[in-house]
Amino acid sequence: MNDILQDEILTRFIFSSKHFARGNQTVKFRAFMPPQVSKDPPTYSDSLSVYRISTIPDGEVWEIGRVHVETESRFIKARADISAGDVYKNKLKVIPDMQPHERHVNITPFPADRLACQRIATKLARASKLVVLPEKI
Amino acid sequence: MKIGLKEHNLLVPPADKVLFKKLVQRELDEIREEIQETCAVAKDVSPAPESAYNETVSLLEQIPRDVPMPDMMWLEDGGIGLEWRPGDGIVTMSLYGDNLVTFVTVLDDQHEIAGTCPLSDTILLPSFLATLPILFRENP
Repeated sequence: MNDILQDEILTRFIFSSKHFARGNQTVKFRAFMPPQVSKDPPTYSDSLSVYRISTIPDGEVWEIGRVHVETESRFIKARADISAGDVYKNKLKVIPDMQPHERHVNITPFPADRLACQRIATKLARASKLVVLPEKI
Repeated sequence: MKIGLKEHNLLVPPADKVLFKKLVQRELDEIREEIQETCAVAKDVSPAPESAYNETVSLLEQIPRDVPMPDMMWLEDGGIGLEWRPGDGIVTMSLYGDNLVTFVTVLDDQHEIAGTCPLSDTILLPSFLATLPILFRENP
């Protein structure tokens, strides 16, 4: 896959209804917090897993989430779409990973400390667009 | 499935402390339940300690009454998060039961505040909380 252009859309899958708000169509900052790697002192992973979704239909995006991100016990409820340009504005890069899917990429480098991570997660949440999983008919 | 959407930026009447406490407790109970369910099936999620819930209640009691209730959420690393959306801006706070609060406000690309301080702080935290009503004031 080619270099990731500014207007390319990335998505982060969301598992909890507490991590987005239908009422005002917003994504909560927690959706963009990287995993914690140690507790004392609290430090965080330098990368956040997302998928490139430009040029593919919505159904295929959800299918990627269903097959490669969901587990037996955690189910996707929504996703947060964000442009690569909004990621770059925060002095972050988008690095292709290709595993478990060719569209998998990592946003990196997140800082290690909590305040800096929350700052970035807050800005990414503000820039993102909520897409709720359609209900099955 | 719950029916009905939360009405965002809903003010709790200043005098209605009982309602305020009920709303907060209901939200925290939902969070507690969801954390328990998630921890039972996901090993990479840490439950928030009881002290984080207590800190959340304590912090919310300090927030000026002309500020809407925030959205509350659990954080996978064992914290409770609060979030407001004043206009195009965003305000986030997080508590982990360690007597510290982390706060961030982003209004646009050039207006941002972020910090960490003890919950007992008498300068930074009150100053930060004092900005919240201003953010929700309607522009003339």
